[in-house]
Amino acid sequence: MNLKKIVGRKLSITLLYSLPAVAYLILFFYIPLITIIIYSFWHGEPLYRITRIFTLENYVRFFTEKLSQNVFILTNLISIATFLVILIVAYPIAYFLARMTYGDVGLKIILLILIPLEMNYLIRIFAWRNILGENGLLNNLLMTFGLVEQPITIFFHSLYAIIIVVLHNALPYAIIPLYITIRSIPESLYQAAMDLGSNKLSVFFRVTLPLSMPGIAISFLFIYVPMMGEFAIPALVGGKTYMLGNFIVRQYLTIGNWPYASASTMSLVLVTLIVMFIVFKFLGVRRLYE
Amino acid sequence: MSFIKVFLKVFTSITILLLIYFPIALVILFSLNDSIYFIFPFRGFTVKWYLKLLEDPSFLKSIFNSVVIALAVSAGSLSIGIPASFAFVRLRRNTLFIGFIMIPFIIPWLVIGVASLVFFYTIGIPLSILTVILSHIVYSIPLVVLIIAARLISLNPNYEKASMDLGANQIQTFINITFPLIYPSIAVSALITFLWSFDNFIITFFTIGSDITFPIWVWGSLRHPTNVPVITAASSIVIVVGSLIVYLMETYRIRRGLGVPLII
Repeated sequence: MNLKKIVGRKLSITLLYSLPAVAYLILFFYIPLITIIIYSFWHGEPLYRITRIFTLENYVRFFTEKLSQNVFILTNLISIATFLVILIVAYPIAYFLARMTYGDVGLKIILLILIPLEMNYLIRIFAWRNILGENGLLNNLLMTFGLVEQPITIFFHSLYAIIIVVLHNALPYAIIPLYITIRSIPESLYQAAMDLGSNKLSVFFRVTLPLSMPGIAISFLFIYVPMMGEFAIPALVGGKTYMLGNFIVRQYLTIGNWPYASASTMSLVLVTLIVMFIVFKFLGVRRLYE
Repeated sequence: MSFIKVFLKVFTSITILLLIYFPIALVILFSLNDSIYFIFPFRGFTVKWYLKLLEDPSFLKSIFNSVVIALAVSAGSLSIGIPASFAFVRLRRNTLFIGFIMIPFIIPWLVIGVASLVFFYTIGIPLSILTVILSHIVYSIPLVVLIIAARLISLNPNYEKASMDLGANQIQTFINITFPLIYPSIAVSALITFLWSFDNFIITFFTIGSDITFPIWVWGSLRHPTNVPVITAASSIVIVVGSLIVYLMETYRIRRGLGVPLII
């Protein structure tokens, strides 16, 4: 009886601790989210004209109209392509840091990568604008050395510029999970594989790569999810590249069709959550925490 | 093996130097150059961009606003997040709670931004620094919980039990036993929420209204090409001060054994 009382009191105190966070998030996150869900089912027209009748037309429009379909597919393709590029750069670095350095040297090098990147989001985009731009450093150097006659423009206001900037921004977010998973593979597995006659290449493809899958999955989420909502990078270096983030910003702030914009945003949320669920389910992210 | 090792070593060094440090070093270098473009050769050393910057009242105001916002976000998210991280660790069936707390962290920031904008507009709160603070705390709470809960999990619960056995009440136990043990993680989460809030552009863009923060100032100035050197000078100051803070924080974190940098 007495014991039950104590347990009950402890539990309620723990619940009490969670109250401020729960209340705050309900008030300033979940209710706003519900607000845009409600908006997404209303009828809207440009210039903030809203009719409060229930309709599914915004979702139908988002998934059937050519423009939004293209933007949606393009954004997914860019996000996945960016992820692959980052993975190709980050994996060798993470592998090197995890397997070929001793003690916390790897951590210190990650720290070195992180220092300039934990801040200065817009400043980094700005720096790349000045390097890749038409009057920028790259063209300046290429023309000084006589490699090109005219300023080259493919690197500015293009897809490549977006990928380069995101590669710069997101590199540590890919390296850190990869480093952790590769580091946690026990040395004995490599020795066993070598003893059983594997060469280095097959050790990599049959031991290291499968066992680092959780790290790859996490870094995919770290890159894919922010990319789906990115609008500053495409707006500043992307030129005509028009991503889902730009589409949503334009619908909210320029065109002013809030119901349609809200339906687009909710579609983005849904897709993000579904992708996350699939990744967590099939790639065994749980193993990382066990 | 040694060939692969050398290759990876060179690859790592080149990537870090060229991809990470080169663009940022350029910004600092050209902030001292007497030209509005990032073009070699150097036109000559000058500090006039810095002087011009200090005459710009909107820049000083933006830095001031950003610091105020970041301080408020840090304080607010800590006072909500510290109790929540206890609940996070101690609740037995906590899957629902974890999901509830973490969803604001894993969806794109754009969604938090537009949802806050629509919400504040609908209930009639005018957009200002206050709304920016309120919207930043949303993603800061899970961030604080992640960092502090990671420390709490590794904490031996017997310390607290011993303290309670010896007659201390909950508050005394927290002040004398638990707080000193988790203090490093609190300090780190205070700093990270500060830095992320200072740097946040995507959410601020929607909830700032007609006010100004440092990223919004950069965004606005980018429209005018003649402003490039002034942005360069401002960026250099932020880069140098910010990197120093991050460096001190992260070395402190590694020394205290608080795990891998950032959020994990």
